Amino acid sequence: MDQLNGKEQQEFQKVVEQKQMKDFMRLYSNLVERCFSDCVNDFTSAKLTSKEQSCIMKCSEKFLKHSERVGQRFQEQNAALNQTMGR
Amino acid sequence: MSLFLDPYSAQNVDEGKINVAKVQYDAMNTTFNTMLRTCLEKCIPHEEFGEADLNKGEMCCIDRCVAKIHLSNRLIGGFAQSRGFTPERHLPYDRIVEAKIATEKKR
Repeated sequence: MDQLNGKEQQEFQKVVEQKQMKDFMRLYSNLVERCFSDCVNDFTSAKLTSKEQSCIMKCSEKFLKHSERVGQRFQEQNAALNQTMGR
Repeated sequence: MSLFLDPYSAQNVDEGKINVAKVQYDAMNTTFNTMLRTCLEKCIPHEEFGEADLNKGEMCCIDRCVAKIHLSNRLIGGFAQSRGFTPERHLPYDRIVEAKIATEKKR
């Protein structure tokens, strides 16, 4: 990715932005899906109970922290890999 | 865009190079997303969110999970290379042909 010239980088940057947006939406819908299916299992009422609400909040927070941590570690691994490959 | 506003107006865009960069980006993206999904499944329990923070065990599990999936990737990468795991040999023939025709047309 580093041998692109300035114009190519500009063009590629646009592609990356689109891809990131798409990816972010996917991450978000995964979050909703995961926390909804883990926290909401009772359909005797159309309202979220306070228990379900607090479960969803905790679940979401945990999900975000998970993503952040995996992201950090992934970057570290990548950096280490690039170093060993001598780039 | 005006010649004076675009600092890169003298440079040409090589579509091929951009496509290679896209593939590299997608590969990294897939790796990362798989890592996210798998380690979430393996390390974060489905019921009882005791607290919003990750607890010690979960943090430890995530760190090891990421390290292990990374090593597994490299291990399998080496194996796949040694066994000649290529799209030509391991994907349905017609799809490859289609892709080749498409790239030929572009040239």
